[in-house]
Amino acid sequence: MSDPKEEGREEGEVDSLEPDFSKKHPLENRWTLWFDNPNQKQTQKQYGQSLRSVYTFDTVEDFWCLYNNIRTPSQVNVGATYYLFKDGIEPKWEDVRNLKGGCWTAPVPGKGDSKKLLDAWWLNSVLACIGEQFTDGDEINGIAVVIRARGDRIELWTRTASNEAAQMMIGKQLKQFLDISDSQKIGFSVFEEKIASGKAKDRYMV
Amino acid sequence: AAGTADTRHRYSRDYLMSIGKQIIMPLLVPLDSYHQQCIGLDSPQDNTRG
Repeated sequence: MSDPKEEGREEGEVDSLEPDFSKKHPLENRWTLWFDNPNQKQTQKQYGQSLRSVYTFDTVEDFWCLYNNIRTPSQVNVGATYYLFKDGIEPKWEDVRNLKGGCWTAPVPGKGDSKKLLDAWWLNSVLACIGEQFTDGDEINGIAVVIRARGDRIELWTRTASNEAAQMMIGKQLKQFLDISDSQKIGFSVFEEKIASGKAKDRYMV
Repeated sequence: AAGTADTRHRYSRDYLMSIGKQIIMPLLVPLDSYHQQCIGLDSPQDNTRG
């Protein structure tokens, strides 16, 4: 039987300990990587036609087997999107587990080495998700890195838009994990509003 | 209350990274060749991130 204390260490406590490579490290959740690479700009109706599920994993080692052998976001086509979602949840607003939710959007600053920052933000946000670093981890449905000519962004999709306290905590922690300064604000939009009108104003900001 | 300790499998970034540096094994996944090509899974030997 695995020792939950060993796997459940708090941030900082593990750093002085070497990982035990004699066994795989189980994740709290199973996660699926999805990839979307449409040939052209999609309408809301067309969304999903080029979406592909790539691989599902539930250990730290299997995650790295995947991550270390795929292109980073900065290396894939403009217009593409990587999604990492909890197993069973499709990266669609209309999925029943997303329907009452929304997402935090963190635009990657265009100045400086923005492609390096894009890759770092994606990796850091993925590690925070699979490592269960968010206080309200059950609220997290998945994360996306969206590569676009007008600006790349990270999206963190959550389950219950109406739970303001949880969303605010998640937004603050996302900024912390991405090392986003206090002066740079990120916004949370609600999927029901996006479905109704194709766009949505930010309901929350941190 | 006693007995309600958080037993989630939690890992810090540094701990996960220390495992990731040891894992370079490629995967074979059932994906159409176009999408494999897009994300690089068809050519793990091209991986330059060590």
